[in-house]
Amino acid sequence: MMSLVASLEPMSALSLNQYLIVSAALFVIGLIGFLSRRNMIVMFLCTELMFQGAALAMITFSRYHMDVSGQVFVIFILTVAAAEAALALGLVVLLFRRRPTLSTEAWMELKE
Amino acid sequence: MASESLYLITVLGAAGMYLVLARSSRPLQWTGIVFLVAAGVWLAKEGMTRLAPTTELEGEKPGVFFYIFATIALASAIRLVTHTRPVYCALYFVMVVLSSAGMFLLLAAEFMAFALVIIYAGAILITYLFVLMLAQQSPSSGQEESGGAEYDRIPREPLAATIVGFLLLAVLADMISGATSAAARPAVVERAASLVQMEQQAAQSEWDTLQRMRTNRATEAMWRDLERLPGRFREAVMSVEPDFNWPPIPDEDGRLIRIVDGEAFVLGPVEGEDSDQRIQLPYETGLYNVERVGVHLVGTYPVSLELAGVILLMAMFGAVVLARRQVELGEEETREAAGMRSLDVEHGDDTTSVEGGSA
Repeated sequence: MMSLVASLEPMSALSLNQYLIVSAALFVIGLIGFLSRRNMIVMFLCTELMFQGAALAMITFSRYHMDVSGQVFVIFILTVAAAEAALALGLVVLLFRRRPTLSTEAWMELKE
Repeated sequence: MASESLYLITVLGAAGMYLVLARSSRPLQWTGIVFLVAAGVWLAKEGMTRLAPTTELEGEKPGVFFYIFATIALASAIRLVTHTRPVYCALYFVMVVLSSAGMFLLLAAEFMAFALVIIYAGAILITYLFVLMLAQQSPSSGQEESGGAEYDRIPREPLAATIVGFLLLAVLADMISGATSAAARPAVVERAASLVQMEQQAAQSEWDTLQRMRTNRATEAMWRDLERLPGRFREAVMSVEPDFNWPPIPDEDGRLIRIVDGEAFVLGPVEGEDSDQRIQLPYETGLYNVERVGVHLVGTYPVSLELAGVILLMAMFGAVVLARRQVELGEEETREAAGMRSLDVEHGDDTTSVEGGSA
């Protein structure tokens, strides 16, 4: 199942197009979710969805140009996403202890 | 190539998304789903027609598995965004991650597929579920339990979010199709002329020639990566010819592996003869995807690797600092938040109290 690089056929431009459209759609759905939900944890989940879209685009280009740098960069994206998730969830737990709700509307006075 | 159809897709998709997102009645939600499916299929077709592939290689569609994984990913993403209960959102995200990993496998990135499943579905999502369990709230008097909390059921500004999102999707799809369309393909007449002896067929477009060049460059890159692993390299050569006089002779650029027409060979000195010994490296000794990622991670991007470690260390410190912070909350409020009864023990004229004894 592991693929030798030399045995890969070049990826067609149409395939590239379709993969990139899926990646853009994932990103946009994450964006819509982030803008319209009010639960803090679901908002972070939508951020992770945007990361998925970007990662798919990078892997697609890595396959298209037969360069492994795209995949290496996705490892770093994963690292940053994991670090961000840990800190964000820690903050959410702290905020929840303050006011026992996960809604962002409870913190509206931070806006002014 | 007209762009109006892309913006019509935007309107259709946005209408569908809005109907699914906002808390409308059941038939309207199903209408929304139908709109979304129609918009998705139309978008895929539109990408194909705007691309206008001229040769067979350019127009090769991705296999049926891609469409299956893409449909599952997008459907799970939409369900994540519209579901009212946050635990189900996390589970739908696991679905997105798994189908994304499937797409990575189709793109020959096996290491990333496995890493995605292990890290996302195995670590990050578990953390999310733990925090969701920790942040459980008791149903207070003003809430309906049927659909979850009020701030989960009703989205905030769904119309604006949907319009903005789908407009962005239309612009991105326009750019993607435009960048890979026939008008954007460069004319590489001089490069094609130099590769004439490699191409046996007569009628190949320049785009296909570029594709072939990319494959050759990839093959070259693979053999160069093998060169960076001296143990593997030596093993590969010795398995072909055990009497080879190691090390091989470098060429004028200092490279040990020579590549002609995608085939790799090494030259070795033979005692007492003028000509060199030529060993063809077998195809199977090339590197697999996991090995290539490892070689490049440590060999080409070591600084980024160390910085990633530092970022993780900082995140760990931050999490420990955040977790240690004691937030004072009155005991009554804690009990109320957890849904427990308040602990008022009645004194005075309650003869059935717990302290029997001295009355």
